[in-house]
Amino acid sequence: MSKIGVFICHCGENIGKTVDCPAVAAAARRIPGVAYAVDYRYTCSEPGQAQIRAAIKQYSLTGLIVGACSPRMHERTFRKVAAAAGLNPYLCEIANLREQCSWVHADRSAATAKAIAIIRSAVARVQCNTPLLPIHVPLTRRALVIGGGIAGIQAALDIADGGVEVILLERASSLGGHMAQLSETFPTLDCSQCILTPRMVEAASHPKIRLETYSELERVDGYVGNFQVTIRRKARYVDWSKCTGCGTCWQKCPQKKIAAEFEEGLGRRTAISIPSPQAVPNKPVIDRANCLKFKTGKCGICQKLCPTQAVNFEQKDEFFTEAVGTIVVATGFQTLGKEYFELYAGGDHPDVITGLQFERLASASGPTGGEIRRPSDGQEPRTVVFVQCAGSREPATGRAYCSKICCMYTAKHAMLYRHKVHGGRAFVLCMDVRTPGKGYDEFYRRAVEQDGVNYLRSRAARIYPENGQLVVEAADTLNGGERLELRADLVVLASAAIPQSDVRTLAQKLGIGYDADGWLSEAHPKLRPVETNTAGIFLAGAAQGPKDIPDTVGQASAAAAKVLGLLSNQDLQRDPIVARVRRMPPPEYSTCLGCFACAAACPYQAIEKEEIKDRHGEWIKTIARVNAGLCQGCGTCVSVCRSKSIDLDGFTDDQMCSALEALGG
Amino acid sequence: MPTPKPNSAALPLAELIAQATGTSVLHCYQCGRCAAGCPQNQPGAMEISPTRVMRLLQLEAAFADDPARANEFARRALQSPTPWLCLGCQACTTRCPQGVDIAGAMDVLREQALQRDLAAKDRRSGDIRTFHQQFLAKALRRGRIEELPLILRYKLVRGHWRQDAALGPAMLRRGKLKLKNSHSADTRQVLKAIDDSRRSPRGGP
Repeated sequence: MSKIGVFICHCGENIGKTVDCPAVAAAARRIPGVAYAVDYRYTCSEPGQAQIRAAIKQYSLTGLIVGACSPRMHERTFRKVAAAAGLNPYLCEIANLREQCSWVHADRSAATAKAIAIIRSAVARVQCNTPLLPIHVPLTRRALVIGGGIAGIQAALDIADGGVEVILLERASSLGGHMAQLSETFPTLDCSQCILTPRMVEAASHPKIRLETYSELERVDGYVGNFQVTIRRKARYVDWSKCTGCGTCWQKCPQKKIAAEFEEGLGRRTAISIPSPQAVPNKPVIDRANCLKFKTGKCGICQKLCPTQAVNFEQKDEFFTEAVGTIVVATGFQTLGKEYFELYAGGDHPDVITGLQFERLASASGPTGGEIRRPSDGQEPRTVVFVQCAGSREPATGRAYCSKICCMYTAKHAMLYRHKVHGGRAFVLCMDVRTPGKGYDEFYRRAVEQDGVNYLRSRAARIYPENGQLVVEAADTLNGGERLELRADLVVLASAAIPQSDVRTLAQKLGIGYDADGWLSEAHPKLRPVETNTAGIFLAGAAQGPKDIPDTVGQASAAAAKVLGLLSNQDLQRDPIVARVRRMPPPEYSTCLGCFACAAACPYQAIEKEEIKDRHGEWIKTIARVNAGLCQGCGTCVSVCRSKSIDLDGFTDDQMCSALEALGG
Repeated sequence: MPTPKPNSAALPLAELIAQATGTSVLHCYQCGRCAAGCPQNQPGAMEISPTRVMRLLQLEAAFADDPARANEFARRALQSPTPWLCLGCQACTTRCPQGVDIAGAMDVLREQALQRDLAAKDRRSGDIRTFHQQFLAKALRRGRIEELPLILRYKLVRGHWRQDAALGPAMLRRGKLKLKNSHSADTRQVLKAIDDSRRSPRGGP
């Protein structure tokens, strides 16, 4: 027979005013299985807690009910009290007499009757409770950062400075990401390379950071604290341990006319190349698709000339697996290519370029050495039209969102153009100018007021070439929507920021969510902006949504703080409120049929397959098993299980049914 | 009549306004506060709001390398009745968050409209323009305004003999209209002050 103690709290007047607490305690005493019941003004106070501890010992209580406020408030408090008196904390339950009774009722006698019913239900539930033990999950004190742009670099540096080893994974051959391509940065116009390259070097030389560039994430197993990540190191055809980065190979390579990705197609590179002179590591890779040796079998000049015999055409992709405790996803974004914009000169006109291409034109290290020259004939453009919202804020073509960075970078582009081309005219076509950020609106106004950039309020309807120029069909809604045709020498599209094309595959590998547009989902838009719904995986930078550099760096540092917080524990201790597949003795083993409807329903990828084999290793059946490290105790699997084979510890079917039956009686 | 400044027609209006007021209409960010607070901007009363006038001036500057188009924007600003409807109450100038002297800009527009013979031709604008011109002509000649001759001259030009005629006896009774001409104590000094102000960098009346 159970011996349950019931403690009814008045909560000052919160409960006591509406509920007759002594009467509830008296009624509780008459419930079978209750050994002791008492009411008290403030049960959560120290004397109230002492009362509980004394009763547990004096009456050898086997269960504890505190009729008080919401369990969100004090469940933890009273479970600690139970534990202090030697009672398993999961044998303590809260009956909510405040939020669910006294606060929502006015009639004292009816509220008292309801309070008694709630206690009766709680007694029935506690009689089914079983002692549970916290789950300890071991922890690998090591982190993986995916993406070597500014977000990944910042996160890796912060984590490494916290004393934790980091693997920094980047699929390009060099760190840097988009930021390395930028000319100047808003709103201060400091040179992007000048502020980024020192950080790239710092990341590469940090004793706690292991750089894995030209490598990609192949697969992820495990769970928080215990991930096993498989990395594919792509064949570089250059042995980086021998290469000194002397540059002989890329100077002598005969394949010189390949459109350079780093230059957004405006510059040329060789088949063996580094993306930019500031590359970190400063070591080349061979682009197999364009290399003569691979295409025709003849050439191999780089191999002959390499002073350290580093070129190796036989190199293969390598695969290796690493154990890490947490993962930061900082895979960034891309922008819509101009070919997307058919109405803008067919999407293939050389003098219609994207914002990223303009960055390369304006960059001192770019293909024109920082001079603004239009791609078609190398002439200096006398009139440039900048088209904002190209592909953004356009639900009809699939993107309703604002790309956030374009207003500012367009103001910067127009400003840079006016600084570089004296007497040149800059027009910006915009719907709004959105400048929330420190010093941002001032920057935009400076473009207008000091640098004479002309803003017209409309989207560009159509752009077509005519007599060596581009006619931009525009209007000015600030002048009654009057149509204005602009004749431009160069058109720059502030093309929409879009997710990386393979982000969905990556998210599926990691088991994290993404939204309809393909941006990775945070656990809560306001209160958990760097966590994902999968424990141990965090987000940084534009992979989560369009972001400028300050926001990206801020989020990267936030993700690093989360990583360090998690890894500061010896192991991970979790509430044992997890789902469990019911087992029984042979020959049944379990009622689970192995349909894995639970696996499909589980939001946390916590359902695994378990093969039951006999002593000879012969397969008998495959059933579901819950990984307690991943399970968050949501109970979704319990509700979808057709054979009722899954139960949730702490909220078992027995507990819930008994509680409900007691309410009905 | 103010004396025309040399070559002023060649300069964009925004430039002339900057010279006259020390503020730039290019700073206007089209918030609409001037239009919202203008007592003359009543429904149906003003074709082009002060905000829109600022925009036309900005567009003239923006298309400076396309004179035909720029002149068209300038023409519309100059031909609009808005500068003539402006009371000069300065509410817009006082409230403008960008510190643009909109009322001052209206002064320049009136001046330029007359100079380029583009002033609005509608009856209401014509009335105001006539009054404006007669007032200035008198003030600049004698350093002082006398109500009765001013009214008579205005009515002579516009032919509105009966307009406001009923107010005459009451004004006379209260001494608002003086039948005897009065002269400024020192006309020469007043005229000199006007001349000086015209020579100052901020421009004259």
